[in-house]
Amino acid sequence: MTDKTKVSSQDQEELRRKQEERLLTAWSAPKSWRYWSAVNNSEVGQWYTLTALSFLIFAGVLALIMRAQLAVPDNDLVSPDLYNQLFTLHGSVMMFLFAVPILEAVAILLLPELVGARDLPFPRLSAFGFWCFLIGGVFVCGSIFFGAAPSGGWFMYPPLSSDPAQSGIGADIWLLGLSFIEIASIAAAVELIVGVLKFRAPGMRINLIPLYAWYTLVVGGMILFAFPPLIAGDILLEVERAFDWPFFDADRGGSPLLWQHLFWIFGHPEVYIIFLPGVALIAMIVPTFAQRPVVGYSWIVLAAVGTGFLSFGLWVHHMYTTGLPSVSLGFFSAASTAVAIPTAVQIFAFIATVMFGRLVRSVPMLFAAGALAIFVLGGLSGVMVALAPFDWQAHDTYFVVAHLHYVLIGGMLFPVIAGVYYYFPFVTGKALSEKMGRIGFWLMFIGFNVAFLPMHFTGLRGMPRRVYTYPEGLGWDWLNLISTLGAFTLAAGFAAIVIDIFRPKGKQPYCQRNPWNAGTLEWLEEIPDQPWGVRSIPIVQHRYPLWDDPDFIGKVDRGEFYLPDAEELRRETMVTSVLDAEPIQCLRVPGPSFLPMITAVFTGAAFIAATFHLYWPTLAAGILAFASLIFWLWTGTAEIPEKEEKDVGLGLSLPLYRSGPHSVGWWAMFITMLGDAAAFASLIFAYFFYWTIHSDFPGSPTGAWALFCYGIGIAAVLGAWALTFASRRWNAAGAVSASRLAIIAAIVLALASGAALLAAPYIDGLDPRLHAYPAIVWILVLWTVAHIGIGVVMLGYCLARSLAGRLTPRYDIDICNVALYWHFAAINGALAPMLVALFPLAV
Amino acid sequence: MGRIGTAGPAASAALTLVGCDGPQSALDPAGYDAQRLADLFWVMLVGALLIWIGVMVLALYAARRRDAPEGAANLLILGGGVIFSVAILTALLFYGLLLMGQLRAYSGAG
Amino acid sequence: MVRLYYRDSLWSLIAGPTIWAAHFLFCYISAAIFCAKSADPTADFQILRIVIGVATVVALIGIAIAGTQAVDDWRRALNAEWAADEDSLQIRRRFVGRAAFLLSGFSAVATVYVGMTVLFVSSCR
Repeated sequence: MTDKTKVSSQDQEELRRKQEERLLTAWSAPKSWRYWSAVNNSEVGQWYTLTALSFLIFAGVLALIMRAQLAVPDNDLVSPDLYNQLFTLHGSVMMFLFAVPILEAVAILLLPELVGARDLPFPRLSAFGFWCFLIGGVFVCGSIFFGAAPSGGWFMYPPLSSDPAQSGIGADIWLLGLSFIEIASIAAAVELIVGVLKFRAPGMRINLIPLYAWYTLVVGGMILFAFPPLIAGDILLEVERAFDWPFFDADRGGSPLLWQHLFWIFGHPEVYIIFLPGVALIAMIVPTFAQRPVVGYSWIVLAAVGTGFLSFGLWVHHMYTTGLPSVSLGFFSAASTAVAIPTAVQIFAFIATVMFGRLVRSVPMLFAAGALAIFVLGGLSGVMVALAPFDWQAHDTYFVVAHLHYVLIGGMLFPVIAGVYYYFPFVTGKALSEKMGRIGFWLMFIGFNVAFLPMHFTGLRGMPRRVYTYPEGLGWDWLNLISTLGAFTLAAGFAAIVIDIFRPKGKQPYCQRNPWNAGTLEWLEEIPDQPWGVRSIPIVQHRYPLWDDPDFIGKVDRGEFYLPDAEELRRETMVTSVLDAEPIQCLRVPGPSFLPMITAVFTGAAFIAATFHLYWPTLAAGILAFASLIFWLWTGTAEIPEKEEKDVGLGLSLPLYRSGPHSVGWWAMFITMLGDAAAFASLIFAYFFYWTIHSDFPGSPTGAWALFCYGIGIAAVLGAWALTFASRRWNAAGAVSASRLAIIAAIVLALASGAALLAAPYIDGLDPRLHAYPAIVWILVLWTVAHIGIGVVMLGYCLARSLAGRLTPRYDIDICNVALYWHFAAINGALAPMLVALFPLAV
Repeated sequence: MGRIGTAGPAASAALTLVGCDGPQSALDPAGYDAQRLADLFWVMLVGALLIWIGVMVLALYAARRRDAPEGAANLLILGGGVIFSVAILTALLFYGLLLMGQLRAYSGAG
Repeated sequence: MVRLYYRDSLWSLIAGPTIWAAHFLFCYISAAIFCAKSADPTADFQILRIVIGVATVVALIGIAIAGTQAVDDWRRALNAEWAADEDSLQIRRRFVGRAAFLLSGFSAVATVYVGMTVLFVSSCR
């Protein structure tokens, strides 16, 4: 290490210039048409944000048409069927194509810089998620122009939605189009969890991380456990529609209530998945404009984690009027009431921060204040409907419409706009207009309240949801007209904001660096923005490093911390430990590639072809997607570095390659499998749900031959698992041939297991079209066999990597991750057959 | 059970005035259960209004305040966010569960 | 004393809420199966009440253990030599202990809320 005092300042300048050149080469976005192969969080984040905002505008226009229709009684502006498509698409697009994606988009944009990293852990995965989102979203939204949009309400309740004659292709578009997008959401969750836990700048202990990171971590976990039940439900509903398996058909042992359970086990956490990131933005904005660190950091962590957990215990409050036992309803009333406590705590913490600071007025704070006023009102109406008896009157009326819009617009939309005004300089280097911001705010605030406050009353006076018109004389006429006027005012306000965002700013000067004088790391960002994110990865010792050390920005700029250079012209960032952010690895993250886009296009083609029941094209697209994915994995992951360790600066050398629980790839596999386990658990739940609603379920005990086949299946899958585990061990010990043979043997056993498991219900004569029982057994078996199949592909991949010299005893990421997969596959492969084989014998 | 009988005419007059009446209005109850639920609503409405106004006043006060003593911060969160909200929510939950228990209780008529 | 989670890890934060979740699932599943499969729910409701009551008490004990362990971690860190810098290990430990304690307290309240349902509601209707 050179002694700095001996090096002249001119040499130092020269060194820094060269470092910056190399960093630029490594991190610059590609030019011209190659720009679309970018995977860095800055590019992907901006595309994601703009796409989500476009969907918001689309869904908003749909709502304006709805309000125009409802402005006067007995209106005929739109037909009943078109109206059904309008409200279904409005809800679905807002929830699936705007609310969740915008928050993923903002996290992708912000998170790396917020924690002092240069990119997210899996940039190509984010890019893949974005392209899936774009393709799926255009597909779903485009349907209305063909009169083929889904029309069963955004919750798509069967039996309306399970009857192809009544609900048309729209329901398939909803099911398949949105499942496709849900993959993108789960991918984002994996990224964000790993990003928050493993990518922080050294020294940023868990008690020093920005609150936005805490909320993002909680939300990532929630997505992981909330989306899979919906995916499981989507699979069941689509299989019922396409192949007539009666999961939700009461005549053949199914139940529409099962869909409601699966949908709402997703649906309730979903709204908190939407709300928490909104509050997270407030948590970053308020301290800046109170000019002091946030008050009650521990309380806010309590609020985030507590809300995240509790939100999974609320789902039946959407089903209070379905005739479930009142004792069950009581549990959900209790939990729904309890969840208001952490919500209140964080609100008081933000008020306290303002009270004990010095408020600076600004557009972001104006929107934050509006958010508070609107959200608190929504929370209070929420506590009202949390009580089951009151909900018996309010359910499915406009009271609920009022409540949900108050909490979503107050808890998410206003905070997002506050975030847009706050972070616009971060993204573009220029500020938005204070004047337009204020005009937009007041129009939106007044318009919103004029539109939605009367709806509480309209609902209690008896107006149900989703009606396309209403007669005179029920007392709803004036209320609806006022709501419509308010809606258009709200739209005008929003239009002002949109104009402000998109107006040309070529002549406008750049703002100064850190224009709001904030304290957190993302404001290290240079203006205009440089592609490398942070100039060097800092050592963090405070929650608000920029406030703590006046020369912090200077030190980072001069490259006085880690990774100030990119000597091999690669994109590098640091991996650190979970609790105390001690450096573990220097990770090379992938650069631009068209593979994520290509894979997304093929995957999308497969889903779209399946929607139209074109099964050969589906198969072809699926194979192409699969091939593209394997190519991507082979060329882009688990790269063996040219040297063991690298000097990252300040006298520290870190390994370039880590496998097993220390590697981010292992974490990604683990987290993904947790989500997969949640979907599996949902299917098990479905099985037991049927048991509770039938007195004689299952109909008959498992036959002897079927039992035998299940037994073989279980034994073989456990054998495959053991062999995979052994293979990993032997490879690490250097016994490469033994390891390869073990893989081959594992593949053989796995295939045998799959065959045996498929034979078992067949031998038992279970016809899935006859009754829900054989249907759910077959689904459980098919799910298990599919997972075994994926395990076989993974084993084959490892074998190929080993033969090609890319998987060695020292560099064994692939087999470590596959062995981890097989732990989960073994549990699945043993539990599901045991359940379907043994439960009929037990009852 | 006697509520509707005794308060009937006065209540309907008041309701018509405020505009709550209507053939499908939950606020113009026509039966025992509906009456109990309407009462619940009015109680909750008053509570909600008071709490909303209280929070807004607190926020406005916070916005104007400069140089407050720091120690009180935790007290505010503990007092307002925890103690006050737990107290109110517990009472409300009591009311709601009690009401549901009574409305759905098994009776002789089954 | 029984340790519910690894010392010095993030599991401490979620010990309380996890117990709440397990209790919640137990109550819901018991009530659902009881109401669906019981021959005479009116007469037997007392059994369900007792079962849920016991579960609630067990859960609260579990949460109390998690909470005291959290306080223990918190105090332990506090008793160590006081470091004024925000970035010390002890301050980090103190934070984790404190946050875990708050979450345990909240989980206890939420568990009581769920358990007390059976005091008021005694029918499967």
